[in-house]
Amino acid sequence: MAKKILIVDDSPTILMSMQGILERAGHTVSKAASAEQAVTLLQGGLKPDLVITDLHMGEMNGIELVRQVRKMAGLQFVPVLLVTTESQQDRRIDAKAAGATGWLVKPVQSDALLQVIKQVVPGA
Amino acid sequence: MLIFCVVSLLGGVALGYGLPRRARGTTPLRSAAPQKLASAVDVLADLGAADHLARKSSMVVEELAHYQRFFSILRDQIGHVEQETEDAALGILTRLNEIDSRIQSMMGFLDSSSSQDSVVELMHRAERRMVENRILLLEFQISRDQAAADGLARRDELLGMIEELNMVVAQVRVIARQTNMLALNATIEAVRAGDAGRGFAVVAGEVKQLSRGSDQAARDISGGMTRLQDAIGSSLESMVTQRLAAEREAFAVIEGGIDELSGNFDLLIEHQRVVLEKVQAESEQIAQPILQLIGSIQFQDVTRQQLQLVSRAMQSMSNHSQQLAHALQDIKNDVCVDTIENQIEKLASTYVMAEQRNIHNIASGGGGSEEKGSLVELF
Repeated sequence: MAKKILIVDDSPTILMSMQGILERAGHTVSKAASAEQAVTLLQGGLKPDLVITDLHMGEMNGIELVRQVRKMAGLQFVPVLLVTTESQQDRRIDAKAAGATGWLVKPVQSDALLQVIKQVVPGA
Repeated sequence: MLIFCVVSLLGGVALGYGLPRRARGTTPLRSAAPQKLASAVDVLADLGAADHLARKSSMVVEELAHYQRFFSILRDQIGHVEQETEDAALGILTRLNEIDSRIQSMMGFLDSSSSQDSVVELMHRAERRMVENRILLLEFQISRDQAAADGLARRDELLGMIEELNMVVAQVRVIARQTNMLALNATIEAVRAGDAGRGFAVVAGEVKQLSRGSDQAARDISGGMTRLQDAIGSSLESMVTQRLAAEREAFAVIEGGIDELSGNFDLLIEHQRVVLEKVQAESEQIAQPILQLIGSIQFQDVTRQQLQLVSRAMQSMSNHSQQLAHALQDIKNDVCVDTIENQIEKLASTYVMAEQRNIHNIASGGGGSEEKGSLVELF
């Protein structure tokens, strides 16, 4: 079943790649080039079934974005996945503590991404 | 942050020679001339070395100044590479999406308007029409055979009627002969009767004429009947038979053509099915690698981050070279310079990937055994 997914990354390549994978699987995709832009979209009424975000971006990073999402009405339980090149274990711990749902290391294989989405998003 | 002040050896030496200090040569010459001369020579020699040192320092400062530009050029080159790879990656993604879109469109078209089911239905409909036409042909052939049989039956009937008429004609001839005999006898009796029989003889003669005429007419009728019989029997039969044979031959050709067409339809349906299955299978085979390529293009982002790291390191090196140049220029004072060792530690602290730390450690003489960690982890 098609889901609404918000992708957040400062890399145009990542945004386009993820969009291609997800739309081909039938999902509807919204994009944000920064965490601040994502917050604006979410506060503007966007209600995604899943958020996929990069970690290292501009002023606000992905972990801070997770904290912001968890504070928003109606989004406390929406799955948030971090997709990053970061490999340090303590950063994963920080992400988990902030309320993230999962952690994927770039480059993310299309099969793996779609499989994770099926696991974390009910009905996907 | 560890910073320690570098009191340049060169600077220290330059301090020793560059400042106006207590002049060595201030003691009176009269009292110790040879020693003073020696000291003066030493001072002159020291002053020459200091001058040489100063020139060297100026040269190094000048060279260090160029490093700033050099590193700027390298950072711009890296920035250009970063942009080029991003543009190329986006271009590749665009084309992959186009290809995928076309494949999806083709598969959608195959599923809807040109599906195997609809083609097979068309083929079966055409085949049913051919079967119906074959039945019509057969029925027509049967009706033609029946018509031919009816024709032959009518012929036989006519021939029968002609035969009956021939029998009647034969009877008429018999009557004519008998009448002729009667007339002959009457003539003989008339002669015997003498004059009283003359009138009777005339009548007998007339009767004889009449019987001859009847017989002739009967023979004429008989001849005509025979000709009619021949005409009906031979030409009609041959005409019907030949026509029937020609029609049967034509029906056989048409039937053979229908059979061949039906067989070709079956082959065409099977071929259509095989082609459609093959196209769908190959399209799915192509679609999967394209999807994987769309995901793999993310390597460009990893490369971008690594290039940005190198660019930041070059900026640090440029700043460091400026600090060194400043330290050499300001030889009178102690100038604090952030050491290379410190720069390297700062660089290491910005690493995000296990590969970066491993490379750093190996280049620094250590081990490179950090594990990448699981690629997917659900909390």
